[in-house]
Amino acid sequence: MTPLKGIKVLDLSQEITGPFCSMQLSDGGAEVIKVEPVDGDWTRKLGEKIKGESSLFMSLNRGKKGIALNLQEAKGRDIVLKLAKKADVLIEDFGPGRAEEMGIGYDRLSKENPKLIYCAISPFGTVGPYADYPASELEIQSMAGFQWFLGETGGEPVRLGVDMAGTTGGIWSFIGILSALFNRKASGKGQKIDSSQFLNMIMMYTYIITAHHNPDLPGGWHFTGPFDHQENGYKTLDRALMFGMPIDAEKAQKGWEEFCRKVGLDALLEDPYFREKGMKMIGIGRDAQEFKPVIEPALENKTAAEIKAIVEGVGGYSAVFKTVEDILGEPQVAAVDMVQELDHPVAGRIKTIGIPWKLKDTPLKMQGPPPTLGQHTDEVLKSIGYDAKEIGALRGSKIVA
Amino acid sequence: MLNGVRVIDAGGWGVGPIACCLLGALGADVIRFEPPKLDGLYHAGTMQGGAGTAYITAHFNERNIILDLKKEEDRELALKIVATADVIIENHPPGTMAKLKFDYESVCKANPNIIYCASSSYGATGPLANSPSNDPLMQLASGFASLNGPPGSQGEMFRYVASVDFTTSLNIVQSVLLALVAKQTTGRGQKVEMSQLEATLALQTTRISEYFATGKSPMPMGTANPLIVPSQAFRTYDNRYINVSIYREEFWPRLCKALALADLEKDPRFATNADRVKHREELIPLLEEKFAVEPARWWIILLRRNGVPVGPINTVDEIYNDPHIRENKMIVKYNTMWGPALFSNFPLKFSDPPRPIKITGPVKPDKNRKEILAEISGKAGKGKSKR
Repeated sequence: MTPLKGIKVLDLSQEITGPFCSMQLSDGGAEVIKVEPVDGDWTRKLGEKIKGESSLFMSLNRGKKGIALNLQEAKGRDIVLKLAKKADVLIEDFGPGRAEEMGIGYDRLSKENPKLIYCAISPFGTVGPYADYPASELEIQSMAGFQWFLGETGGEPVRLGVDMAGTTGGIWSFIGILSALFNRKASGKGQKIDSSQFLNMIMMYTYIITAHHNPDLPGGWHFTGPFDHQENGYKTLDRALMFGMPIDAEKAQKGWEEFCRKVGLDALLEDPYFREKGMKMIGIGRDAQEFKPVIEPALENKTAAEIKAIVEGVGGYSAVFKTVEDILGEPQVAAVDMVQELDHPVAGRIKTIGIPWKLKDTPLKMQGPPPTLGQHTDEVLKSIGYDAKEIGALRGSKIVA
Repeated sequence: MLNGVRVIDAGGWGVGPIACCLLGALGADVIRFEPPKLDGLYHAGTMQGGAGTAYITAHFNERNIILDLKKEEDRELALKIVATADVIIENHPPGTMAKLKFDYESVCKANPNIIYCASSSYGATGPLANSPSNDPLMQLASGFASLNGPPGSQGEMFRYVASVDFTTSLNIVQSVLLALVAKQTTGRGQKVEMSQLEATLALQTTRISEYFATGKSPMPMGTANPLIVPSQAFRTYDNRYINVSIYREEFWPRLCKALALADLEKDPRFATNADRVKHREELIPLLEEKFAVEPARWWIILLRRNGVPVGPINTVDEIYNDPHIRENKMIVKYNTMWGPALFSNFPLKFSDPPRPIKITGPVKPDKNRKEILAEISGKAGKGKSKR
């Protein structure tokens, strides 16, 4: 048995956040019907393709049934109303007030299905001055202060390469939906959840907010000035790396001296300043940046792997800047089953990132490949009482695809 | 939401405790087992009132009892508390809990239906299973850091936010909720394993999809986006930057109108996103030139008025004073034993009960010993604390 067996999810959302959430619900065992516009989810048109199929779309939609509906038309919305009656969970990202305008808002749907859990995803939520502003990953990251901790002062801004607002927005929505499902067992009632990408990102900022307002430091802990150097590690013959010595002071001193000798920095040890402070200066932060000109010349003829081995040999820690290719090639990734394969009707055998949680008594399993556009339209419409003739007519008038 | 669920925080540093706090915000009764010397985070980083601010951040919504699991007496007491719990969460290095005789198998003897979530660095099996890690190291080791940085660089670490740790905490919450929902049907608890590596790989899903298609690792692009053009920062007249993304086609004519660049809208080279990705090198200089003639504030107002996605680069102080964050009460303040402290509020809003579901500030270590002991001795019944 999978944890969400028997749970029906109707996902009306597009792009990253909602689809990531419903994919994780599918991994948990739920039956997910993904509703796309008749010309497809926007991500189908984006990015790299495998035999014409968007790799981005496929990475976010495995294990779902796909139907294509024109929600601009009343007949298209009727189908949503019928599906919502039988659903446990509905996910949408139309934006504040839009679902109500379309006649498929929470108030209407919950009257007919009081057990429905309705998750509305939006950039800024439904309350506050930004509620109606559009925003994508980049704008959310910058407004939530994430660009403040990347790049170099005075240099060009840098974003987080991952789609943090999108992906963790999906995670938060999942958390809301599962909490409501758990609660429903006792209350017998569904409810509405508002999941805002921006507010979710501010939650992730909580350590910074506490530290910055530390009343014991005048003006708080300033995340400016000394703290704003780019942390890009030490250059080597190949990859950059970061490293440091053990926390224990005695071990750190011994390790540092040994390290210096092994990389040919013996001369540094003759200088009391570097002999005593060096081991504290090499980790991360301002000191490491300022120490670079001193230490990098000794590393430039060695590979990152060689330096890592030396550091670990003296009891220190280090990490190399790995690429996606590097990490996916690690046997560890295979050991925890984090790259899996699926057979897609068009793209053939595709790779996909695995499920991060291992539940021993109720193991999770991917339910299948991502759907092609409208792949399950007929099947799903038949399940709610449409016959072949009606489906043909809907398709003819471009209400379904 | 999670009323009647009791969670034991047997974790350390940030990852396990933050997950417990969030379950607490959802209504669970969380009891923290504090080690006698207090958690490592208590003694680390920037300090206020004698405690690390990160410790203060990571322990809201919890009750606290000091227990030395190395001592048999305390271990027995801890097992009695666990017998009343539904969930236990730990994130210590592999083998730590077994050595304390507090692993799943040992705890099961006291509570066969416990949900035991063990979060590690790299996963429970495999060649790196016993390797320690932390947020900065995992950022580098998982490929996460390779995606950040100026074009042509090898990547850079994301400073201070501990987003990889936080994402792992969120994954703990997800897996525990799945196990709680499963238990409603099966009646059984279970062991749940997850790790920072697995959580961080899932976080990179969208970017890794590029690698699956091309066989080439995605590389840093500053603020730009490989799939969407334009989506990047532009320098403005006052030497600041604003971020602008045309992430749906409807925004393109709006941007052209706002910039008074009617010719661009008609230019077939830039007609669709696919065209703009192809002609990125031709388009971006035209936009850069235009954005350079007015200050950031001007563009933000103008673009918002025209319904174009635009984002200023906010600092921590700007976030604190942000009217949207204020109106959503996203930052809350508590008077703790270490002085006043600010936290992010729980971000989700539910219709029943509405937010904040339950937020209480962090407490003094061992503060709740008496009441917890009374509860397990039956004096207060097996009922969960109402606080």
